[in-house]
This record gives sequence, structure tokens and C-alpha cells, in this order.
Amino acid sequence: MKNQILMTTLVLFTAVAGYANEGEQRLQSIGTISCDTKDLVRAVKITADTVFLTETGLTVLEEKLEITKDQKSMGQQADITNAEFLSTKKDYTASLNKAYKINQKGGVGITIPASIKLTYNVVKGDTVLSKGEVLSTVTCRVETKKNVQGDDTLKHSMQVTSFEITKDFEEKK
Amino acid sequence: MRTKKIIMGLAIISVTHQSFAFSIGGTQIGGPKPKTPTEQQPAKKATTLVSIKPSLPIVNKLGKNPFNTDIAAKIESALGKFTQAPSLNPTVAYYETFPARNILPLTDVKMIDRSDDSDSVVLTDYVSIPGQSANGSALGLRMALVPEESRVRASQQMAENGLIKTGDLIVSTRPLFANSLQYLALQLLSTHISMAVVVNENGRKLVYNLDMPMDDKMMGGKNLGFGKSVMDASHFTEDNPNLMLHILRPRMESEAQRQNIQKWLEKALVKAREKKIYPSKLSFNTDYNSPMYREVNGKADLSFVADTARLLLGQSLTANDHLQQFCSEFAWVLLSLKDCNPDATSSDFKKGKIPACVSEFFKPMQMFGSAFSSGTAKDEDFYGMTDGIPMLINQTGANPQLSMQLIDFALPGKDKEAKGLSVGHKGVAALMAPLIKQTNGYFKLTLTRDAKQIDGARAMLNPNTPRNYSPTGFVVHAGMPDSVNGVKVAQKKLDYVVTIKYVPKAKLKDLQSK
Repeated sequence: MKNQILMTTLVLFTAVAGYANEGEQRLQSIGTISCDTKDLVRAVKITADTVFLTETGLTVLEEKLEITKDQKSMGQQADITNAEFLSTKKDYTASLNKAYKINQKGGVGITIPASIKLTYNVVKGDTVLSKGEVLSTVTCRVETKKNVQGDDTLKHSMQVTSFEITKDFEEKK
Repeated sequence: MRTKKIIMGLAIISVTHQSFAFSIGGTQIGGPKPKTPTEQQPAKKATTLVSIKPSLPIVNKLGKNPFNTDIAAKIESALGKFTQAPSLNPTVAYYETFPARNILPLTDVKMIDRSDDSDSVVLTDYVSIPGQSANGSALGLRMALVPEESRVRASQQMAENGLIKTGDLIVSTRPLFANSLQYLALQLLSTHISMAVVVNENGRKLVYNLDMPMDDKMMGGKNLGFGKSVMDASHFTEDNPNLMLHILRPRMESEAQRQNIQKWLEKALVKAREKKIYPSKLSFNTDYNSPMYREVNGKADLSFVADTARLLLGQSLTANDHLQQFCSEFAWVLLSLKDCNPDATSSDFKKGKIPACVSEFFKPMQMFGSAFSSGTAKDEDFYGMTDGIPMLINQTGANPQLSMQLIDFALPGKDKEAKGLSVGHKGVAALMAPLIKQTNGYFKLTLTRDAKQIDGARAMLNPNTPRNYSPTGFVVHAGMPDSVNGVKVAQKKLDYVVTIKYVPKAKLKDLQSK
């Protein structure tokens, strides 16, 4: 299933954290190819579409929409229809440039939070039950890490700092 | 149209923060003018008043024959049985306990022998493994059994009687996960660290928990409102069944350091309540393997510590555009400010450099230390974050055969189901499986005392990751012996005080009154 495949991808992207965090209910960071705005948008989409607990089979977005496990098993699901970068690109780019400079000096560079809007449909078969929007803010980290051979490699990762349903309305019948 | 605002479980908090005024010690501190109840968030709880009752002394059942089967049965009845190892104490796994010899003496805690008040907190011993030789130490816990229906009054009792102090670390530990995922055993079942802040409020002392993330799950107090959690936010009450809380005390060298920490933590509590720095300037780092701490040419870069101080002082970030810290990282950062008086050093922080008063609370740790091979107690890397299991076994004085059994008990080579743990964690556990397999062998190798072989294995196992200060690292500090071969362990910076377990009042009556 699509979401489970994405979850596998996510886990592989996930840094092998040696230590569990409080985040039994929280996602790990997501490795990205770069901190480019397109990669961030893609990563937020993957996050929303990720199955978080195998026991429920619900994606992150579906859990937030309070879709139940039973509804999901009857074919109801949330589909993301669009994703766009909302923040001022100039400010974000300036922050990303600073993150690279911090990394060059040996530190961990972290960008200012950037806003990304997702739009979604809740569907059951071909029927659209409702539509809505999610506003998410994310940061991107730039850091140098050792790979298994012990060589320095440049790594980028995204972390979600908020994920809020801002619009959720039922379709007119 | 139906509009929802849902605080999510992704280290997430609403982006439309509302700040509100509040008080410590009856004086309003910071924040804009008070809003009407309908504007406040969370208005209903923030205005809740709880009547002030006289403080209760703590009931002391310590040292009343910890091996007494009657007492042990009552404790186990209160705690529930979590683990199923037939040869070991079945309630709490040994790797979730501390050497009895190192437990911090309670020299200044007010206690009584018994109480008829059902709100009374009871202190008692819990032995996991008795000492195994003449020089061996028992492993166990000093339990504080707390009536779960009376969390506010318990917070008052523990603060006013000095059982919990400002700066103490509150470690969330999960006995439920004993004998499940082996990587949780390597972490000594510790998953989160909060900090304790004791405040004088409306004529009484209370202990509040301060957390990263500064969100409702961690700091949304059920009784007194956001930022006034007396360990009654959902993390402590709903999300983690059978949670226990280890209290660890940072070693301070002076009263001035204690006062500095008091000031910094009160400022952090203020900022958390204002909701102005989290998560817009300082957010939760979900990757515990990637701290902000880095060494450049062998020298620590503490600019992120200085930037955190600036946020707490109401100043702008200078070295960074954004900060990201996990729970124990935030605690380590705050403790690394112990030599800075915020009132006196504010202008130093404003200059943009790192003031000289900023210093590492402890040297961030490697995965495995030198304690079992060529190291001496003077080494700053004597123990690593992952050394907890052999460090505890070693202190029992167990013979090699029992030691190996205890290692296999913790790391049996096979994971069992950990219900309620996220897919992400299970994925990480699966990825770590090869390392865990090697760790079992490495721990057994440490029993040989073959320094050359152990050092060789350690060099291969210590991965190419930055030094770190995970929750487990703090627990390992508290479990370290005070000295080895007569030499003081220089690395040790924390002491174990007590483990809090909230239990129904009905189960405590006999322990309180007899």
C-alpha cells in the first residue's frame, strides 16, 4: 500500500537515533536531498501521508482528521491534492545561506521555520466527502556527519515544528 | 463549515500562539495585560484555584527491612507486575534501578513515621538484586509512592519537604517495556527528561515540570493550567501507562550556582508560558542522535548555549537563526549556565560573544567508555552512554556466570512486542539490531578484563557520531560509583535521589498508616 511504502522510505531516511525520545507519539526527522523549498514541500507531503502506528493503519493526516480505523477499513481516506511553499523565499534563502555558513564552521545550521500549505480531499471511493487545508511549519538542518566509512558527508534533514488543520469543510451534496 | 484546531503529536503546537500573563510568588511577571477569559488559552484551567492546605511531611518507611516480604508484596501490589523473569525480582528490571550504595542521603528532608492522611507520600525501598559479594552493592530504588488523585498536594509535599529541588532532572522511565525491545534496555528504559522548578506561589511551594518540547502534552497541567504542570500533563497521566519518574540531582559546587539555576529555570518557565520562543525560535529536535553540540578542532562550540540564554533574557539570537534541542539537550544547556548569574551577565550575552561563565555541565558522552579496560576514574570518558548495563552489574559484585545471565536477561538476542511504541521507534530498533547483537558480546567481553581486546572492540563500536547527552547519559551519570579503586570518579555529575510512582490512594493506606 502506498502509505506503507512511504513509511518504509521514511524509516530509511530516518537517522539511526541511538536513543529513543519522548517521541513515542512524535515523528523522527526526515532526511532530505537538500533544503531547497521543493524538497521541503515534498517532505511535508510524505510526512502527512505516513502511517504512524501500524495498529491503526491511519496516516498522520487521517489521524488528525479523526478518521477512525473502521472508517479507513471501509474505504475512507485522506488524499493530498496540492502542496505549496508559503513563506517569503528571500528570507528563507538568507536563513539557509547562514545555515551553510554555520555548517562550514563545524556547527549545525538550522533555518528559520518555513510555512507550507497542503490541501486535501477526504474521499470514499469516487466520492469526495470533505476538503480542507493544513498549515505546516518546518525547519531544515544542515550538518556534517560521518558515514559508515568515517568520512564527512553533508546531510540535510527536515523537522516539522507544527502541523495544523486550518480549514476542513464538508462537500455540498 | 467546520473548523478544527488540533494540537498534533508531532512536536507540534499551534502557530497562532497566545501569550498570557501569569505570576510566580504572587508578582505578575512578563506578558501583555491580562486578557479576558474567552481570549485566554487555556482560560478555564489557567484561572482554576486550588485551596491551600497545610503541607504534609513525607512518610518514611526507608530502611524498615527492605527484604520484608510483606512490604515487598504491598509495593508490588501497588506497582503491578511488569516483567516476567522468574529468577529476578519481577516488578522492575534491574537495569532500571540504581546501586543502593550511591543513593543520595536525604539529610534535609522532613519525614515522619506514619500518617493517617491519605494524601501522604510514602518513601520506601525497593530491591531489585541484592549485593552479590562482600563488596557488592544491591541494586534497587528509593520509591516515593504518591497518591495519584492528589498530584497538586503531592507536588507541594515534595517541594516543601525538600524531596525535589529546582534543577533536579525528572526522568520518564517505562517499566512496561522491560523485556521488549532490546534497544530500550540499552537506554535503561528511560525515554524523556523534564526539569523540576520549585516556585513560591500564593504562600506555598510547588514543583512544576519544565520541558522541551514546551507543548501542551508536556506542560499543560490538568489542575493548574499550561506551564503549571505538577507532573499532571498528559505525558505523565495518560500517554505512558505505568510511568515512573527517576529524580536525579545535579551536583552543584556553591549556593551561587543553585541560585543561578533557580533564576534561569524560572525565566524558562516564564518563556514557556508566554509561548513566544517555542517553536518559532527554539523548537524540539526529534533526532536524538544529532545534538547541536559539536567540537571544532577539539574545542566545544557553545554558541547555541549562549543563544539559548539570550532567548531567556529576551534578547535576539546572534550565532544562529533558529535553535533545536531535544529534551535532555535543553536540560544540559540550562545546567551549563550554572555559573552565569542572569542579572549580572545579561550585558555580556548582549555583546554577541560567548561569556566565560558558559561551560559544559558535563562533557557530552561517547557510546562506550574506558571503565572496563584501560581507563582510570580520572578519565572524562570513563563511562559511555551505553555502558549502563555492565556498569550496574559490575557494582553488584556478581560473579562472571551471573553477570552473563544478567546481560542475556537484558539483551536476549530477540525483541518482543512493545505495544504503543511508534512505527518510527520500531524501525530504529530494527536498524539497530546488528549493533545490539554486538553489544551483548562486547558486554561479555568486558567481564574478561582483557584491556587490549576491550579497547579494540570499543574503538570499533563507538560509532562516528557526535558526543551526546541523551536521557540515558544522565541516568548513567547518576548510576556511576562515587569511586573506583579508591579514586573518585571525576566524570560523575549527578546523584540519584528517588523514583516517583503515582498509585491509587486505596493501595497506599497500609503503607501510610502502619
